[in-house]
Amino acid sequence: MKTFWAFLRTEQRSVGFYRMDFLLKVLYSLIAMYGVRSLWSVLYAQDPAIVGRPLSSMITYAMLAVALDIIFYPSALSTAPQNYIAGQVRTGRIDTDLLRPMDLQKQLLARNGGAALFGAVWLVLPAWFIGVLFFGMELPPDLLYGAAFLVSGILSFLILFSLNFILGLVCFATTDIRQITMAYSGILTILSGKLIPNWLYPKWMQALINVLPFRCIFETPLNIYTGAVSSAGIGYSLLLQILWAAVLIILGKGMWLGVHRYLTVQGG
Amino acid sequence: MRELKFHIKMYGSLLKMTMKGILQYRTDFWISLVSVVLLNGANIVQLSVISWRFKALGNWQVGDLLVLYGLFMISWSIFSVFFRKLSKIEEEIVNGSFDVYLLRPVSPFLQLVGGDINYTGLCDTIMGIALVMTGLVMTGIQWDWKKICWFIIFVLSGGTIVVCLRFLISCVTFWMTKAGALSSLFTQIYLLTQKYPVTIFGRGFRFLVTGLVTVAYLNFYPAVYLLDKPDAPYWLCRIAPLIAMGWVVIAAVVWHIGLQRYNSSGG
Repeated sequence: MKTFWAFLRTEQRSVGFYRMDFLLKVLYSLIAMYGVRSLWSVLYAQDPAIVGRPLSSMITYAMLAVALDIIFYPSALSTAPQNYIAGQVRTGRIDTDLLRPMDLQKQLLARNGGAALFGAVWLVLPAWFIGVLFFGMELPPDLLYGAAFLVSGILSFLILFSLNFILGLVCFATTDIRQITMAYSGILTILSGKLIPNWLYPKWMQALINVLPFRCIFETPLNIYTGAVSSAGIGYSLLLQILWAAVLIILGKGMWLGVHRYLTVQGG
Repeated sequence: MRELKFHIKMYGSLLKMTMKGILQYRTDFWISLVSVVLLNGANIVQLSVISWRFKALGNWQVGDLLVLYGLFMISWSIFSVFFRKLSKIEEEIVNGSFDVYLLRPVSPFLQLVGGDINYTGLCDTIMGIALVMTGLVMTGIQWDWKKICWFIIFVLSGGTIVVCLRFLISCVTFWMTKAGALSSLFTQIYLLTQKYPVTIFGRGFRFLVTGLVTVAYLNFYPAVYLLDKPDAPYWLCRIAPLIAMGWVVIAAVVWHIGLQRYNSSGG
């Protein structure tokens, strides 16, 4: 936890230098938010029954997805584990990471978590605020939902981090993961409920999505925020997220231990 | 006239040299093709699901949307195949390699453009053509020779518009060092016009992409004309070549002013 705050402080320091860049990033996501808002307004006017929820709730879902994407897009942060590992493997500096007294997975989580929290406060929050003020975004139904959304968002981040970490480990085998990263980003975009809400997919596709972890990244927190789940359902949603996060973190850890052993053999 | 011939010959030999250089990396092409399909795949899936559930987006059916998306890719690929180097002016100015062009007796523009042909950009062309053809089959519209001529005119105009816009954004480097922000802003705007017909947006945005940034001329207006859509008057679509020419004039003027400015600051 101490390391986490240390990484967070370093991130925090950079804000003074790049204030203009931050303003622009918020502006970019406002343009994208305007885009999805227009899209869903037109589709709602065409057939409200298919959208299946009130327009204000739908545009809130879509715009919040865009805002969260600032930090949840797989390679949005330069500290994302797959970006970091790829860079270190390519330049051969990965050995310095192994020398540190902290496990690689924890190191990267602290680094990436700091950047994500920082991005959440300085990028997502302003975008959300402007969305609420000018774009007709709704607030969560009550305080419980709001708090549950924050918890769910943190769990989303953990799941995303773990998937990214596993992707980064592939780099040790292939040295270049750019193409795999593109495929992965595409899959995540389609299956996470970010671009298309899952209830619009055909039945067989929904069944597939339900057994995959991707929907926990966007759909779960967004459904909680918009009040689309009952208060009893919140518990179940969060539990599912915790389960996926645990499974993926352990899987990543196991894979890393395997890779590490192989690396030592190579070095010895 | 003799000067023009010289320039064309120079461009040819510059291209030949670059081609020889990159032909060594043939697998790059296949990898790029896969990435282009994957990168655009998510958008295509989104458009397909939306038009499957809602029957259409506004009055645009799935076939129309594929043509809209494909046209954008084809026009854009003209830039990414032949002129991608233009977006690297910033880099070249910063690391000083731009000065080399000014010392040689060939126009700096030609040297910049001739120094690079990015044949992986052809993947965009291939996917774009595939999307347009699929879209046309789905809509059942058949193009007569007149439409085919207009298709070529639209693609060339669209390509010219992208090249000029990207070029102008890079030229901003002559005045201020950070053109990257402007370029990302441009990206955000065209991402919306690439995917969706601009009629779903408000009046302000439509004006922005028609009259100011004109990215709607890459795909929306061509598609309206080529697919007989009622979304815009046809004369507004057919002025695409005029708009492209307008941008060429502006780009040429800015380039010359920029070069002069660069000289003075370098001296």
